[in-house]
Amino acid sequence: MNSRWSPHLSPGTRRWLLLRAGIAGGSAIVYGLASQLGWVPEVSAQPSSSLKLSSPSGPTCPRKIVVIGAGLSGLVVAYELEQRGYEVTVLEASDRVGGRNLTARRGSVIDELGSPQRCAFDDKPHLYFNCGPARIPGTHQRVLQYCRAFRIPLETFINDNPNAYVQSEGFNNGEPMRRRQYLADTKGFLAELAFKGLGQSRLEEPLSEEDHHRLKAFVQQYGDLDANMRYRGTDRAGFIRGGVVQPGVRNHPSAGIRELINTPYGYFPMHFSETESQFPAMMQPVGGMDRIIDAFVARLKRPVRTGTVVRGIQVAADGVQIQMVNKQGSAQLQADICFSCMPGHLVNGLEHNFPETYRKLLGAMRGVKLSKVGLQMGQRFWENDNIYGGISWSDRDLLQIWYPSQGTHGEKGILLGGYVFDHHANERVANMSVTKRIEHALDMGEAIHPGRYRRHFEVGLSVAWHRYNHLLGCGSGFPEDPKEGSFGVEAAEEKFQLRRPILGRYYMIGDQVSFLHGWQEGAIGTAHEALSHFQNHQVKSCA
Amino acid sequence: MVRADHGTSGTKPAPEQELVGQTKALARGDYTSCRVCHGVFYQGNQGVDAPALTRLPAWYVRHQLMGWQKGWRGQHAEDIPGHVMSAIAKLMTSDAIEGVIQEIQRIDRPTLTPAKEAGAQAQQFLVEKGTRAGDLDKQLLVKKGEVVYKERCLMCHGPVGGEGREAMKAPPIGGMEAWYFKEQMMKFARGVRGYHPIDAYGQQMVSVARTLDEDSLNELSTYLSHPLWGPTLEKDRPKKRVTKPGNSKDPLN
Repeated sequence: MNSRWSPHLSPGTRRWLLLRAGIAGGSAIVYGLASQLGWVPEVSAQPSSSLKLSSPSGPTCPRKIVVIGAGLSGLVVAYELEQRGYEVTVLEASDRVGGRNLTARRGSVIDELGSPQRCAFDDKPHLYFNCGPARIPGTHQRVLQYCRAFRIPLETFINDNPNAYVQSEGFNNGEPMRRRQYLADTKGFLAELAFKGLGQSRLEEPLSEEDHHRLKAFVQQYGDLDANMRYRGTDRAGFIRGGVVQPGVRNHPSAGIRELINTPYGYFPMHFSETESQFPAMMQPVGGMDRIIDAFVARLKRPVRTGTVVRGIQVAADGVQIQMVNKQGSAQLQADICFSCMPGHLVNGLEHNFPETYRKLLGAMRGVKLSKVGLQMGQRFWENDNIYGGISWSDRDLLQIWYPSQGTHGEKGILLGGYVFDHHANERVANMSVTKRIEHALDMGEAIHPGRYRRHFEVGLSVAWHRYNHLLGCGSGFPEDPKEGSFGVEAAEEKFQLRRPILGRYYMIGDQVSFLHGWQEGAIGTAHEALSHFQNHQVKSCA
Repeated sequence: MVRADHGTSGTKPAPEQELVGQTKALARGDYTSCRVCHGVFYQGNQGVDAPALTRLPAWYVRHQLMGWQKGWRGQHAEDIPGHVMSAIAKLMTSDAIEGVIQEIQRIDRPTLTPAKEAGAQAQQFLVEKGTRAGDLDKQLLVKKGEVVYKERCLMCHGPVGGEGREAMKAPPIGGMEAWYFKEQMMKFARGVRGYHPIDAYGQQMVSVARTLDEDSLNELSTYLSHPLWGPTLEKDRPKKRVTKPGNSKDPLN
C-alpha cells in the first residue's frame, strides 16, 4: 500500500506501541505521573477571557518581558501581558509577523529558501491562499474565543464535500469517482457482508428475535440494501441525470468491495474528516487566516521588532539576557522573563546557556515537512460540476485539491492544488522548482477535471514549509528516525520537559510543544499554560 | 511566481527574477538566511543538517558553492540536505559568495555561563537513551583515529590542526563535528557525494570512503571531533562574553 495514504503504522514500531498505549490511556498516565512529580506546569484549559493573570503590582514583580518569535503563540503571550501592564518586547527574525499563519494575496512574498516568490494572484478580496493554517475546527475554542473577542468575521470552511472526487491509478479505470458514490458503495457492500455474517456469527449475547429484526433493519438502512438484503446502488451515490422534472437515474454501483479497496482512498482519506481536528463544521476568517494575526498586531502597544535576529540567550536566576542583531547593529536586551516560540530545531543554532539536558532535547527536534501549492483559476469550473468547497483526493504526491469556500459564483478562484503530508513526497516536491511543482499539480488536477484544469490555470505559487526562511519546518517535532520523518509520536516526556521553564525564566511555547501539532489551538494552548505558570510562580508571590 | 501562457498548457517563469525575501537580503549583504541553518555564528546545527563553517578556508567554501551551483554537489536524489543547499546556492551571486565568506571569517562567537542550577534540576528528568560504546574508551579511539588519519587522510588534508591543502581541494577536517564527518563519509561511500564525473576530488573521496570500515570511521570521527582540535583557528576562539545581566542597556529602545 502506498505509504502516504496511511499514518505509517507498522506493528512493532515505537509509534505503534505508543499509540497502543495511548489507546489504553497511556498518555494520560504519563501526564498524571509527570504532574505528580512536578514536571508539568499547571494546565490552563481556559480561553483568554478567563485567563487568570494579574498585573505586576508589587515592587519585586517581574515587569519586563521579551517574546522571541511573532508566531501566534508569541503574539498571544505579548497581547495578554501587555493588556495587564507588562512591558513586552517581541523580537521577530523575519520581516513578517505571523509565523506559519501566512495568507498569500497579490504582492505577498513567499520567502522559501531557494524558491523566493512574489504572489501574482489578481487583486481581489477572495483571491487569497492560506499557506499555513487554513481551517478552524469548532472544537478549537481558544482560537475561536479570540476571533469572537476581536470581532474577526468568520465564515464556514467546507472541509468535507462528498461531491468532490477520488481518483487514483488502477481504480475505476483511472477515472475520477465522486466521493459520495465511493462512500455509498462502501457502506452498501459492507452492509451486505455484515448481513451475511449475522446468520453465521455466534454473538456473546444471543440476540432475541426482536433484536435480530432491528439489527437487520439497521443494516439495511446503513447500506440502503434492497428487500433481499442486496446492494443494488442508492440515491445516496447521486443521479446520473434527472431527479427534478424527470425521475432520477441512479449512478451504477461499483463492481464490488474488491474494486473499492483497490484505491488508497479507502484507507485513511475516507475517514479524514472524522479525525479529531477535521470534523465539520469548520470556520475560516473572511479574507484570510492572517486576519487573526492582524487583529493581535493592531492591539499591541509596542510594535513587533521585525528583522531582529536573536543570537544569544543567557538565562540566570534573576533574568534573561538576549543578544540580538538587526539592521542597526547588535544589541542586548535584559528581561525578567522570556517566552520563545522559535522553532526548536533552530534554537541550538544560536548561543545559549541552557542546561545540557535541555540542549539535548532541542537537538532531537527536527522540522516537520509539509508543502502546499496554490493555483489561481480563471473560471470556477468546479461549481458547474456541483462542487462548492471540500477536498478531492488523488494517489499522487500532491494528494489533494481544495475548492475554495469563499468567493462562490464570483470571478476566478484560488484552488489548493497540492497538499503534501508524506515525508519523502515532501522531499521530492521541495526539490522541484516552483514551476515544476505547479506542473505536477496541473497533471494531478487534469486527471480529476480532464480538459478544464490546465485550461483555466493562470498563476500559481508553492510553499515548502521545511524550506521556509527562519522556520525550516512546519513546526518542530521528535522523529524516531529523522531520515524517515516518522513524526506523530506524541513524545510526551520530551514536550513536558521542554515546557518546564528554565530557572522559571525561559518558557518554550508554540504548537511544537503541544499535542496539536500544526494547529493554532496548540500554539494558544501552550501560550496560556505558560502564562498560568508564570502567574502562579512569579506573579502571585511578588504581589 | 509562475505565469501561464494564456490559453496554452505550458507555464513559463517570469521574465526577470525579482529580488524578494532572501535574495533581496543577499543583494544588500545581509546573510541572515545562511545563518538560519548554519547557526548565528556559523557554528553549525545538526538539527537542520547544517555543518559548522567557521573552520573552513575561503577557497574551500568558494569551491563547494560552485559545486552546488554547477550541480556536481548536492544533486544526488538521496542527498536531501544537499538539495536545500543547491537551491540556495543557485541564488547566490559571486558578490554574495565573497560577502558570506568574509562574514564567516569575521564573526565572533560569545561564550555564555551555563545555567547550572537549571542543569542540575533538569538532569534528574532526562531519560538517557543509553550510552554509545564509543564513549567508554574515548582515548583509545582517539589514538586509533590518529593512526588512521596519518595513514589515510594526512597526505591530502595535511596536518590535522592545519588549513587543509588547496591544491588537492582538501579542506581541513580537524575539529569537524562527528555527526557531519560520518554523514559525509557515508555519502561518499554510497556515491551520494562525488557522483559527478567532473568532481575528480569527490570521486577520490568515494574510493577512500569505500575502504574505511565502521570501526575506522568511529575512530576517525572521535579523533577529528576531539576538543583538542577546536577551536583551531584564531578567529574561531571565543573572544567576547555577553555582559552580565543587570549592567546592559537596550539600545534598540
